[in-house]
Amino acid sequence: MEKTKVSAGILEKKYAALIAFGIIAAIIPLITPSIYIIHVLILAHIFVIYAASWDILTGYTGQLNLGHAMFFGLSAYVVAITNTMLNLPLLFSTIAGVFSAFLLSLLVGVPCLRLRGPYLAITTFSFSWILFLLASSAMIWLSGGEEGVRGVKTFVVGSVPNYYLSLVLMILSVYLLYRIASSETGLILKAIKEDEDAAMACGIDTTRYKLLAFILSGIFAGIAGAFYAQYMRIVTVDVVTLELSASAITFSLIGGIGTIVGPAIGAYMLTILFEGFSWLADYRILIYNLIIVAFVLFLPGGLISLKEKVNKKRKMVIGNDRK
Amino acid sequence: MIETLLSLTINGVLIGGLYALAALGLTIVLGVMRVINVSHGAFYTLGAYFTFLFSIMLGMNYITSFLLSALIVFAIGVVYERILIKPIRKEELNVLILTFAGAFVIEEIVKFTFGPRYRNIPPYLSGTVDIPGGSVDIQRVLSFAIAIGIVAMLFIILKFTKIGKAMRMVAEDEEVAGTLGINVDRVQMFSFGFGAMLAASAAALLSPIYLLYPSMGWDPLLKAFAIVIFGGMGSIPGTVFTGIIFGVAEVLTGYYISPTWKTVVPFLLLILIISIKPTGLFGEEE
Repeated sequence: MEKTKVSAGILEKKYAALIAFGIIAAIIPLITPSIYIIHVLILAHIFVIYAASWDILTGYTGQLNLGHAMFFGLSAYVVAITNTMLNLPLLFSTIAGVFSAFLLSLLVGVPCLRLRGPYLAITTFSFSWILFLLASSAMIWLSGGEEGVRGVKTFVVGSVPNYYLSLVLMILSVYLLYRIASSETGLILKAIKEDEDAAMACGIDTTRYKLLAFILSGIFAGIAGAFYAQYMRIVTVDVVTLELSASAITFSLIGGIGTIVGPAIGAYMLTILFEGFSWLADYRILIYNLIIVAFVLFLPGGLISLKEKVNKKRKMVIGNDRK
Repeated sequence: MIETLLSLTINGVLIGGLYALAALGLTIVLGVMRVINVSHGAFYTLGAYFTFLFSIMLGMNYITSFLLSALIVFAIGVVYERILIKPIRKEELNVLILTFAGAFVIEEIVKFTFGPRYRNIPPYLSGTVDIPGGSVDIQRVLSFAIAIGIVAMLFIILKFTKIGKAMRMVAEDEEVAGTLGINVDRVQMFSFGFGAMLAASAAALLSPIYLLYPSMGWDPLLKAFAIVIFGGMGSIPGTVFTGIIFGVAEVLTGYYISPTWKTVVPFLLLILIISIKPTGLFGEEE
């Protein structure tokens, strides 16, 4: 009885934090005159979806994906190319983009189902690397290389409408991913991560669930990529780089891998911080990566694990009082 | 026609031998420590820049520079393993992230030390050898010979020396190796340094052929990844054979299809192979 009360309390707290964030996020455009700040926040919203989608596959299911940018990038390119070159209406381009990410998740997922550990990591890496090589050199006639594909149409014009659109999209996506992760499906995914053989022995069709994780991961990253394409109105090689794949991992690590919320927080904070540190210019990448090294060594659970640590300490203090 | 093909193939083999050398370091670290070292490419970069430092900036001869840079990178690898990898070695994902970030840190340090611009090391040996359908640089032949020499040495070390046997034992079963009195930590530290040294030697041999720049390590890293997976993890003959196949495939694609596709082909081959046989061409079934 007491236990349910406690968990209800935590639940309320969680929602309170979410609602508080929602309110603050909703009024930001009303109080800031800076289009630049709005722009950075829109990017943050996009990367939140991107990081959370990586987490469902790698953080939850334990399938090491080192090339997450491929889903984001392919979707962005397909939206841009179908919209500008084939003159498809944006809505159809968007559907095509997300669908292409879905197809890619099958293409990558199916051979990867049989792979484990380093094999899987390197194969996902290779897939994204191929996409990068195609976009940056071999198929430059289609991708435009560094110049990119320009002139993509937008759903809504202006920063503020895009801000709200991205906010809604982000909250919806993270909510959905979080619900899936906390459902029975999420539990099975976690079981696969902990011990795939044991999960299989329990009668779980691990292949099916792993493929599901691949598909979910691909689709949500595709949504993020499609939104990015229509917001930026230009798609360049940046969307399939190693750096972008790496940032999915970085965001999640710093927020807290395997929690969906953690990577979301990590992506939000880091995108803003990274822009905030632009005055460091040349030293930015160095400092950024030193921070990651420090996190891996000293706080591998990410920021979200700080909360648990504080809670534990608090409990210990209460325990001492009772003595 | 046939002669062109032959000369292209020879060129491919010569380059492929050096790719194999770069990949061997990765496969040793994978085998002995079961971690993916994404910093492997950064050690390659360091090897190339140390060779540049000694041979061009300090004016030493090529062989001395080569040996010095290999030794220094070995030492860096040992320290890197001790300070950064050892505390977290059990967490596969964390090692991956750390070595990824570590690669960028090394790259940035190289950039600040040597500048972002392209550098080149002139050939250490000039002259050509005639082969059917054309000619190849003597330097490439010699580099290939050195690479094969290093591989042979590696083979002997693993087969006959104490440290080599310990490495194989740890690769086979860490816990059993520990109970048999092998200092697993030390063997792994040594293997990591050794892997870094192999990357540096490959870089030193390739640097008179390719340009030097701070982010030069990513391409050989990815190639090494592909070679290791393609050839089956932990298999030295598999790695060497695959390295050579990749070299030949690259040169042939560059000539017959288009130069921009030559970097894509190895990865397409990799995905094809891995879809058919998940443990690679020479890997043992689990």
